Amino acid sequence: MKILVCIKQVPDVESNPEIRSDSLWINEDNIAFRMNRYDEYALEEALLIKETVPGTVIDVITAGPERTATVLTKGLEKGADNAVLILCERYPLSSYETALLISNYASDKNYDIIFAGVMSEDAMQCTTGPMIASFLSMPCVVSAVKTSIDYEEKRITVESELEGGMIETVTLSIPCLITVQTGLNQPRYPSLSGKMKAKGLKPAVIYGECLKEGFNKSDYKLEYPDTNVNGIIITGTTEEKAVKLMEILHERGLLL
Amino acid sequence: MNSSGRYKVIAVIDTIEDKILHQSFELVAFIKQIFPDAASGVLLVITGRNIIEECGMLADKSGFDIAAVEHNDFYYPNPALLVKILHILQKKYNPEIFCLTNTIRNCSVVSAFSAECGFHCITGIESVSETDKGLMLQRSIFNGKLKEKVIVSVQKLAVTVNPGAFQLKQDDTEIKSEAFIEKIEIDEGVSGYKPVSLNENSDMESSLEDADVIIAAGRGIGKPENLEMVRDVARMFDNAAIGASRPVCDNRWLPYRHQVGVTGKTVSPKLYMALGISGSQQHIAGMKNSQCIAAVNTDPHAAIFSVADYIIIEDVNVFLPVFMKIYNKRKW
Repeated sequence: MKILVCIKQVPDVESNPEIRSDSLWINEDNIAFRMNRYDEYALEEALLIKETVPGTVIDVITAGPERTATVLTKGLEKGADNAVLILCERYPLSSYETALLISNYASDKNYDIIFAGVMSEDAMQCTTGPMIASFLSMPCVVSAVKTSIDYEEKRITVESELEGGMIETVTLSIPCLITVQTGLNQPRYPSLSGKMKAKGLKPAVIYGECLKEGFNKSDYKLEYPDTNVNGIIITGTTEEKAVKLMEILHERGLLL
Repeated sequence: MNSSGRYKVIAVIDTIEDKILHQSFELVAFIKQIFPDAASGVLLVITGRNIIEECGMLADKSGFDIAAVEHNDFYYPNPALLVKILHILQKKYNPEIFCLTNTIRNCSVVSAFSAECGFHCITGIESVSETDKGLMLQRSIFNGKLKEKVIVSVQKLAVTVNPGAFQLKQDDTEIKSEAFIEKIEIDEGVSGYKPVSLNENSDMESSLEDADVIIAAGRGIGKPENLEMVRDVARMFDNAAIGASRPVCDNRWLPYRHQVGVTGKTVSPKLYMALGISGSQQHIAGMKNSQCIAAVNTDPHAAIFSVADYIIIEDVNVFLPVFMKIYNKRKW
């Protein structure tokens, strides 16, 4: 099996992002970056296949500025064999650009499966994976929560999540692209030996030809959401807050 | 068929097992906001195995022309085949915009189609307004911590619209114009992708929908052992159930049947207590219609507070023991 896992480096969204003065992106000073959580599950699914199918090779790939190489190193530490950084100084890239760059790279590599996260935590578009599949004319399933491979038939059966708690089962012929939901496995931490091994590996760097920007800068901006809090903020010491909340719930007939 | 032989807007009404998903009608509200007088320029697409019978009702209800596409492989959601249909409709009617409801599958449809056809693709639209330069579309990024606004011209555009973002008005659905129903024949499906079955997630059966009170835990509870406090709070109420945010289920702290949100259960209990839940967009969409929402979180900027009736800025693991102690000493 030859597997490609698409990984994105995202700003740590636990922190509250501050919008840059040009309103086109966030201020990256003092921001931590990490692997997109959905991609952690995508990588783990590939690693699980590698454990059961001898000879499986996993490549991890990302597109972005130099700092994004850290997620590739993390991928190598976890057990990927090779890493590819498509270096693009302009950031963020649109999902169309990312998909084009990755599919151009993958087009002559004969991957059996391409894994990606169902979405990125920052842009939340759910578009890059399906676009890559489309450029490579591969079948694609989104939001996988379970995969099982039939090697003889060169076919994968995927349970894929729909909104509202329904599960659709689909079969795909190999080669194919699968975007994964969180929860389909338990992503591992890098082992010590994995970290040692990764020290000797460096991501291959290729220079991405970025396209013209999709939007005119004047037609695009980021804003803070309307944080109108309409509710009642209960103040006081912890005890006072607890008493007040309990009284409110009692008065409203919710707590008897 | 309208006189010009083309449709300005093509919208896809979602179906599962030959049943229309009524939430897709909200697309009509979206279309009417951007094209108030567009009735004759709108085509609704509906797919299924035997779907033509549903179309009369849809035509009456919307006043729009309908294209019914029947194929065995459309009994279950089939994004791969839907992309093929969009190509056919694009060639036939040359629309300016394709609209779909924002689901993960439909995002894959608009992105694959856009990549192939040079359309501009924008997913997860929450609101729209007119500007001199074109339409301004707004969507959430960073889990709702920021909003992205983009001005686009309505030309070669494929979008998905968030469920619940555009509400149908009563008169939107009472048009009785003569709508045309067209049946689109397709010879074969797509190779390499085949829907096989559709099941309720067996892990999903729960009492969440029937509960009067939902006590929901988020990552803020820190570790699974702390769920015991959440269960203690639930025991204070009659007919209470335990809810959870998706990360709590992904971490296997609770089974997925407890998950509230777009990919879990949508609930509207009398009381929803969000404990240590920051409020991702997909979680809030699943619980915002609760009658009373109380939220406890350390982060004063937590998105959950935007929908809460009662806000307590505290570490839930500090607050809950005190809350329990006071409950046990209550005087009423």
